[in-house]
Order: sequence, then structure tokens, then C-alpha cells
Amino acid sequence: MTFKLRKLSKARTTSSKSNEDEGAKTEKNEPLSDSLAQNVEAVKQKTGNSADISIREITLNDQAHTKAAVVFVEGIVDQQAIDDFLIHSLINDDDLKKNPADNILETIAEKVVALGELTRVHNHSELFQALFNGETVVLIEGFSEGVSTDTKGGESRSVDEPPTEISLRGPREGFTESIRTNTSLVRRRIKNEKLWVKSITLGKVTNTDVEIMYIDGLAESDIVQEVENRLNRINTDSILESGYIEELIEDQTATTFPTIAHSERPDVVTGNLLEGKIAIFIDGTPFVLMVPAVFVQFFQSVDDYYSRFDIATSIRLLRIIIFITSLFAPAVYVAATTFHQEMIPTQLLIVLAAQREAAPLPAVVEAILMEIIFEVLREAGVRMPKAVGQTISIVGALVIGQAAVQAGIVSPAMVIVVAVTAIASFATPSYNIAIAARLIRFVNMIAAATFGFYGIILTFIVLLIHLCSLRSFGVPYMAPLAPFDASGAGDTIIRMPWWKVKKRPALTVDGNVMRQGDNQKPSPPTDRTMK
Amino acid sequence: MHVKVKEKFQVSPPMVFFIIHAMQVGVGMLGFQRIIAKSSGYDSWIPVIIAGVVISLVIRMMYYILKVNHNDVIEVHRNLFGKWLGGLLSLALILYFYMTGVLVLRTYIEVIQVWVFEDLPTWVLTVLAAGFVYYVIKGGFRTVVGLCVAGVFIPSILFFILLMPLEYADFLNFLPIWKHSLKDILAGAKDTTLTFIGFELLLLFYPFIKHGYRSHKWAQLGHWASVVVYTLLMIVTLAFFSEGQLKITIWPTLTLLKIIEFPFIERFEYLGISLWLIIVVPNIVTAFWGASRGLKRLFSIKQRYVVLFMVLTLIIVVPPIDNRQAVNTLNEWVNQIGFWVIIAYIPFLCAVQFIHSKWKRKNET
Repeated sequence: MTFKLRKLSKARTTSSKSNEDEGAKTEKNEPLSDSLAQNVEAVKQKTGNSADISIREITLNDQAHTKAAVVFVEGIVDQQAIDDFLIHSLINDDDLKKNPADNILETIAEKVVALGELTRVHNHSELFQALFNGETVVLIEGFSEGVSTDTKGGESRSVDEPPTEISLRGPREGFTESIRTNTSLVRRRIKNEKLWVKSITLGKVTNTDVEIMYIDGLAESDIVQEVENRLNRINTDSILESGYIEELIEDQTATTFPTIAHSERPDVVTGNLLEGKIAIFIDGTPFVLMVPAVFVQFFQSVDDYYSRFDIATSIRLLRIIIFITSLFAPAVYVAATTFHQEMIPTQLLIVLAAQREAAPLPAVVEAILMEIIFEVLREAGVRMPKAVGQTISIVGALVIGQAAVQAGIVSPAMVIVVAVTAIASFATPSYNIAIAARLIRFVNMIAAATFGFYGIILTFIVLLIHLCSLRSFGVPYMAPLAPFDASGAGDTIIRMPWWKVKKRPALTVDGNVMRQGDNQKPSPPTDRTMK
Repeated sequence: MHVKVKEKFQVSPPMVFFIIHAMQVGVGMLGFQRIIAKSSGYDSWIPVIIAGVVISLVIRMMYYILKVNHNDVIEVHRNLFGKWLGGLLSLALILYFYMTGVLVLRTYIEVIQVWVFEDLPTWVLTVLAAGFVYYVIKGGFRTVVGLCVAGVFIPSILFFILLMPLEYADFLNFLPIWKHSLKDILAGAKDTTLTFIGFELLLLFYPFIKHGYRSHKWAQLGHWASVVVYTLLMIVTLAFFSEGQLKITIWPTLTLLKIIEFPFIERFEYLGISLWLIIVVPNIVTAFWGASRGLKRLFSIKQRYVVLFMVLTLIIVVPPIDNRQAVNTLNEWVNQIGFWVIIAYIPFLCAVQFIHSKWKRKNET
């Protein structure tokens, strides 16, 4: 993360110096000059003499005393590599020492530099782009071009278990902030030349690297094209996190439901790529976007795929019931106690009535109040330092749970309903769909308080239509359930065993739908004795 | 004016199962038993099956008409009867679809008013429904179909729940089978049509189906699924009620729901009626979609404006129908019209089409 920030502050100084972007662009595109001194001066001046720009001047050959400068940005380069394979070679190389001045650039490029990728830079724009990408540029007296070598490096977080997506079984790797590490984590899982990566730079000021990855022949080419178009359309100053891109490329903006999925886990991204989805990697964030996303995807957790299908199916059903509970539980309670008391069995009704007798507020006010208090507690808890976090839970549990009931402000049944809802809303594997449900819960409560069960069903249908009308990169959001697609439906509410899932979901996959051969169901040999 | 529907607006043939089934199973299911039993008594399950067979034939005829023309009924009318007479017939048919939409909406509102919210005025529920209908149709045909699918799956649990009253059933009621005259049975079959109307909308949404003709078997399946549901429900009702009691029960299905009791829900009909909204909404929405689509085709106006106009007329038309008599009269009218549309008009259209094609072929050779 450190180098990212530095790069950012760097870019900001440049932009503040030249207030107009257009001006900055023409200025940047100046060609390099013949004179080394001028070039070095230009670098210094344009970066505002920034402390992290390192310029090392050396003399190359013995007779002509050709001067050269090695320019790089500290912290985002592999300092060791520069020392050992660039500066060391430049100073000590025998060929170079004897070399006359006129073709010295060729010699350096072809014989001296002992590093991987090597490109030429001709103007300031290329020069700075190379520099801030962690490359090292060698500028030489008498040449209006420079040699740039790949020396990316510097500090980055190591590959850890992702904190937001924990699984019981499965790889413990998670993405980091470095885009190259991230793509490599996926590349290691799909060893196939069909795994293609396209690169694009976004953000006029931040120049963030964004890469799209897909499996050629599996991903629908229309969708790949559409992703590229939408990314190219982005014209903004900064991309700091995947959330920026998500909001700039989604199909429908007027919805609380996420139409783009994200993950911190390489295995999740790999699984999605194999279903013909497209991954969008953004430098500087461990979250990778996946499009197109469908509704059921947000209820799938990695554990489903690593555990037995019957267990996975039961857990998935549980999650869906829980999701519906978190949407409707308080609304149903409000509707039943406000309008349809006849529905409640007599014994239960007596208990509830006894509680409600003392409660001063109408059920709906009580419900909304409690829900808001819970949301406040949750929000306070998220950003609390661990030491203070306990205070929150004690205050929450005591004041809200006990004191409010004892003081007779809310009925105990309501506390139970709110607590159940709260737990339920955290049991959804995807946070962004759980939070959408939380918002809609309030609408449901109001509908229940106005029209009872009729209101609940009405909002339910509206919700259903809304979900059916959503699209993610042209793919219907409720697919493969509506429109129903038999090849994809094996992995929705239920998860079919792997030997049964013969095809890939047809809506996202381009033609090549067969996932596996016939007769994958394991069976023991007919001779049971197995000598 | 041959309009080809773009593929992205089309639905696959199996969806026709859901549309037909969702359109047939609607508000009629709440009270169809009494009307049939008036003439056929304990034999009422026979007319349901007879009506099922007849309507199956009618669906076959519709597919014949549509297959020849590869287009919707508006185009068929224009081909067969010319611009003016054809247009007039189309307009009449559109009005009929509109009326079925109004009927379903009003009947459901009546149920809500009688069973759940006694004091809620009709206009409140109408305005609510109008906004809702507009929202759905704005989403296009695919949204309407999506709702039909939901309208088949989600309430299907209700059908199983409706088997629960069999606990109190007396199957001796049915014996002897066929104790009514054929005339009574046929009268009952005629009354059954109201419960089955809605499938005629196929005449309008046919171009929205990919490989239209291949959907025929799905349409038949959807229809027969409705016949099975209705017959089973009829049998449960007849086994549960006495003949005299059934004659004075306006909504036997709801009364059946009423006696169902779970440990956690004492009066199931409140939930049942609310859930019925999911069954009813596809009816209303598909009817209005069809009517607006028809007007769009007829006058080449944007469907959006037509829908808006229709929804606004709803608010004017529905609230004045404000008592049981009025709702009942409306029901009888639409039942009559629907009966003649199915029994007379579609076969007539089919015959005209048949002669027309024969005549055309003769002229060509």
C-alpha cells in the first residue's frame, strides 16, 4: 500500500502544478532532448524535485567520457536489482568501457543490461509513465531517447488469508494490493494459454493499471467487448478502488442490488473465469471484480464447492431462507400484530398481547426504532478499535436488550425479532447483498404497517420484478432461474454433485458448454472384493 | 405492417406453459365451484374436464390461425377482413381483454375488502394496483413473463395446502356419478369458461415467442396443468361442502383455506389471500399488456403512453363498481363474452382462415 500512496501524492503534485489537464498533456509529450543535463533538469523540474525521485549520474566509457543518468523512483523499484544488474554493469562492463559514443545506446540495450523487459522512451510522457510504473530509465548524453528496464518491486503485502472471505476448507491465499501478484495467483491456477489478460490505464491523474482477464473461447466475446467499451468510456481523474469502476460500468444505477460481483479469493475468481465470466483486476486493491454477475452468485460461498454436494445444498437452502427472513421478519411481526391478530394462535396471542399491553409505541415505530438502533450499533462496531469494540457490545446488549425492555419502552418479543433479523442479515455470504436487504427491510416494515400482509406481498412482487428486470452486462440478473436455463440451474439454489454438472452455464459461456465427459459418476468396480 | 419482434424481447417456447397456466389460474379459482355447482351439483367435476377438452381444441385452433399468419391477431384480422372491419374486430377484442383485466382486479379487491380490510375504499387499492401494473408493464413483455413464472411457482405450495381440508372430506357425496342430465352438465361446462379465460391472449403475444409454433405442446401442457388443478380443487370442494352449503358460499376456496390450521398460524386465509396476489397479478398485468400491445399495433402509438392511459382509466372505471351486485354482474357479463369468444369467435376465425388459405392456394395454382 505504501508505494501506491507515494505514487498518488506524486501525481497530485504534478497536477496541482499544471492546473489544466490539457496543458499537462501537451507539456508531457515534449520529446527528449539530446542533452543529458537538459533531460535531467526537466525530470527534476517536472516532478518538483520530489524526494523519492532518484537520479544517479555515471560515466560510461573511458575515452569519450559519455555521461549517463539512471533515473528511478525509490520505493517502487527493486533496488537490489538496479544495483546489481544495471548500475554495476554500466560501470564495470568491459565492452562498454571500450565502446565509442555513437552506438553506445545499442550496446547498453543489447549487451549490458542484465534485466528482463527493455523498452525505449522517446518523450516525457513515456518517460514518466515508465518511471511511475517502477521501471528504471537510463538517459545518455547525445541521445534523444532513453532505455527503460523493468525493475518493478518495492514493498507490498504478502499473500495472506483474505479477512472478508474466510472458508473452512480451501486455499488460504487472498489477493494483495499488487496487480501482478493478483494475476499470477490466478495464472497459477489456470495453466492454459487461453487465459488472456488485457491491460488498460484508467484515471487521468492516478494512471491506475486495470487489467481484464478472461478465458478465450469460454467468455462470450460480445461481453468481453462490452466490458472493454465500458472501461474505455471511463473518463475520470482517479480510480482508487474497485468500487469506483463498479459504479462507473454497471448496467443499472437505480438499484440497491449489486450487479457486479467482487472477491478477494483467487479460487473464486478462477471458478468464475471457468464459467465464462470476466475478471477485472485493479492495481492497489485486493478486490477483483467479476462480470456478469447473477443474483444466485451472491449466495454461493467457496465452501459450497469444497464440501459434499448434499451438505452444500442444505446450507445454501438455509442461506436463502435466512435471506428471506432478514427481509421480512420484522415486517411479518408488524403486520401480524397490527392487522391480523386472528392469525396468531391463541396461546401465543395472549403472550404477545400481555407484552404489548404495556408497550407505549405502535409496533411499527417500535420495530423501526429497534432496527435503526441495531444499524447504529453495527456501524459503530465496524470501525471501532478492538479495545473499544467491547464497550459497544456491552452498551448495546445491556442498554438495548435489557434496559429498554425493563423500562417498558419496547416489548421483549420485538427484541427477539430484531435480534433474529440481525443475525440473519450477517449469515448471507456476500456483504453487499446483505446490506441491500437491510435497506429494503425498512420499506417492507412500512408497507406492512400500512397494508398488512397484502402490503408485504405487494413489495415482494415489486422486488421480484425489479430483480427480474435487472441485467448485468446484458445477462439477466435472475438467470439461470428466470429465464430458466437447465445447464446453469444445477448450481443455483441447490448444488448438484460435480459428476452431474456436465455443462457450463449457457448464458455466459460462448458456445463451448461441455464441462466434462460422460460417465463421471464414480462407481466402485463390479467386483467388490478388491484383492 | 408486418412487425417482427426482436429476439432480445422474445421468450423461449417453454415459457408459454407458465403464461397460459398463470393466466388461467387466477381469481376465478376462488369462487368457481359455486357457479358450476349451481347447475351440476355433485357432478361438477365432470364439466371442468369437459371444458378442459373443449378449450384444448380451441388452443389447437388458435395455433392453426397463428401458424398460417406467423403474426398476431391484429394482423390476422387485417388479412382476413380488411383494414376497417378487421380493425373494428381487433378493437372489440382489445376491449374484451381490457375488461378481463378490470374484472380480475375488481374481484380481487372485493376479496380483500370482504376478508381482510373491511373499511379500505376501492379507490385506494385501485390506485395502488394501477401504479403497480404500470411499473410491471413498463418492464416489457419479459418482465410480464417473469411474473407469470413466479406466479406459478411461488403459490404452488397453496395447492398442496388446499388438500388439507380432505381431513373432513366425505367422498360418498360423489355417488352416484352422473346423476345430472347432460344439459345440466353442459351448462356447468359453460360456466367453467370464466375460470379458463385468459389463454386467448396467446393471439397477441404469439410473435414474442421464439419459434412460435413449437410452443404448442407447452401451451397444451400449461392448459392441462390448470385443468388438473381445477379438477382436484373441485373434488376437494365437493367432498368438503354439502350441496346446500356450497350454493351460498361465494368463495369456497377461501373457506377451505380458513379451516386450515398450523401450530404457528391459526387463520391461514389471511396469508392465503395475500399470497393470492401473486397469482392474480400476472392475470391483470398480462391482460393489460395484451390490450396495450393491441392498441399499439392498431394505431402505431408508443405502448408506454397506451399503458399510462389505460392505468389512468382504471382509476376512473374500477371504483364505481362498488357492491357485490355490480361485481357479480360484471362477472356474468365477461363470462358470457368470454364464452362466446372461445366457443364461437375463435372457431369462426379458424374457419375463415381455413377457407381463405384454401382459396388462396387455388388461386395460385
